[in-house]
Amino acid sequence: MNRTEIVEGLKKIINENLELEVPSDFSENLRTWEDLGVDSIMAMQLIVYIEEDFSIEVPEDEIAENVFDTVGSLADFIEKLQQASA
Amino acid sequence: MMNRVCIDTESYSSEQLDEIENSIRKELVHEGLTENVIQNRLFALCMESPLRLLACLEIIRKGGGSLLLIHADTPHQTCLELARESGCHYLLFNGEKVSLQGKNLYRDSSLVQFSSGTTGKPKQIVRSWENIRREIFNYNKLLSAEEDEAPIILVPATHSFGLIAGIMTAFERGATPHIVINRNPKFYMKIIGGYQKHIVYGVPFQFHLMHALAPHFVFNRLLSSGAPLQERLFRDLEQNGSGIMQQYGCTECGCISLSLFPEGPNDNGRPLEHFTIETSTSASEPTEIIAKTDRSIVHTRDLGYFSDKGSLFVLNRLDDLINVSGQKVIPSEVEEVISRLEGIKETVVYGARHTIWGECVGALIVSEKQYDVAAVKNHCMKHLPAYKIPAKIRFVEEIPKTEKGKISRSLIKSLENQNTQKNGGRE
Repeated sequence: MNRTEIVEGLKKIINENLELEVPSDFSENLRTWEDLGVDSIMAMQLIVYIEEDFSIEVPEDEIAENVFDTVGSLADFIEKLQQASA
Repeated sequence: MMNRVCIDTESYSSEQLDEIENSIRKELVHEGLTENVIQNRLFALCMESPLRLLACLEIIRKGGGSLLLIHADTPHQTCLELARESGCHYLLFNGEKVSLQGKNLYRDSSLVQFSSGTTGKPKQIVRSWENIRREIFNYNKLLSAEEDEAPIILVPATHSFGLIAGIMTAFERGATPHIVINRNPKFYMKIIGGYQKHIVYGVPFQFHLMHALAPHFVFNRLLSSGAPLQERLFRDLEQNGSGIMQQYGCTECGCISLSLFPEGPNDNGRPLEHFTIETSTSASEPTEIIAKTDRSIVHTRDLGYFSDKGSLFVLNRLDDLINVSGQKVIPSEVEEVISRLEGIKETVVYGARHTIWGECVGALIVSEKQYDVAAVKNHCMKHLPAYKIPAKIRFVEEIPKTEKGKISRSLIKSLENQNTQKNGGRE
């Protein structure tokens, strides 16, 4: 799964599962909270969908807050976990 | 009263807790808050760290002061406004102290909370520690938990459910509460899995997440409150062998009833000993639940009934209060914040349907000025904690009214939720 697919996957989750509007020019620079409206409860739910859709295992440890900053930082997080499980 | 406590991966002995309490006490004295000053005065507390919160709570309670607890992620400015409006003498915001012009003295050391009143501003509810002690005693009697059953608190320590039912009752029966502030649901499960015997205090949404991540994860005991569990989730958990418990309460009363073996999501069990509950005895004709004690009568605005077996079933509410996964939001409070934006002609906030957490905050807005959804959310963020920020915002030409031209939130709710369904759950 390449970077573009990850970002596309995130867009789908945020739009379809979290039921939030996403701009047509969905990009890595979008801030999850300010631009997309993902709040802290949704962030928790995001973890569940990320596991399911990207077939990765999210660690049981604390997740650094900045993981949720932008679409790009989320994609970084997913990429790292994909590499770890590969 | 504080014995041991665990927070996320840290564990604190009672000696360490004493030390922390003493050092915070010194800090407060240095700020001029000696016992004489604390007595009879009202303190607003907003703190990220539950450890600091519990320590301040102990110091102020012992000093004969009263406390107003504010949800941890409330912005500083909003805390100040809340504290002022509530007549607090001081605001303690994390490590910072702000002196305010408190008016009334509180002769009985009390816990002051905001109720989820129906109209207008949130109402202040004052509960004396004496009253809370009675709740703790009767709660433990009904729960009959063992000392080695670890209470794991996934809900905020600023609300009655987490603070009184979760943490304070644990201290009282000599158990060690484990407070979880990290919000990774997998982290929850790691902590829970670390205890063979546990009682997990959470809201339905949290159990839903954990169950979605690990359908075979068995909760030794879980205690859900704030909103009913989804029927499907309830049955799934029942089937995988989890011990489900449910409790019902409100800010005015604290915990009203507790069910150790509920029959279904609405079964909230037997009332605590100090309550006399008046409500229907017919499932087909539920009526308002009225909770009486020797000192007070509380009209809960919740509909319910007693089953044949004497169990209290709690159904929907009589008013427009929005229940976001157990956290209550008063529509007018959010409307007031939205209306502060320039050019807003009219706005109505209502309970929008949400597939996972039941309800979320929805807003219809008529504006003369052009705004986008993000701008409204950003504005709300500055004044409200996260759970009160509208998740669904729609700009309209006109707010739908009843035939008599009145605003009806229940009408808007049903219209909007029909719309959402038609569009396949999307806006």
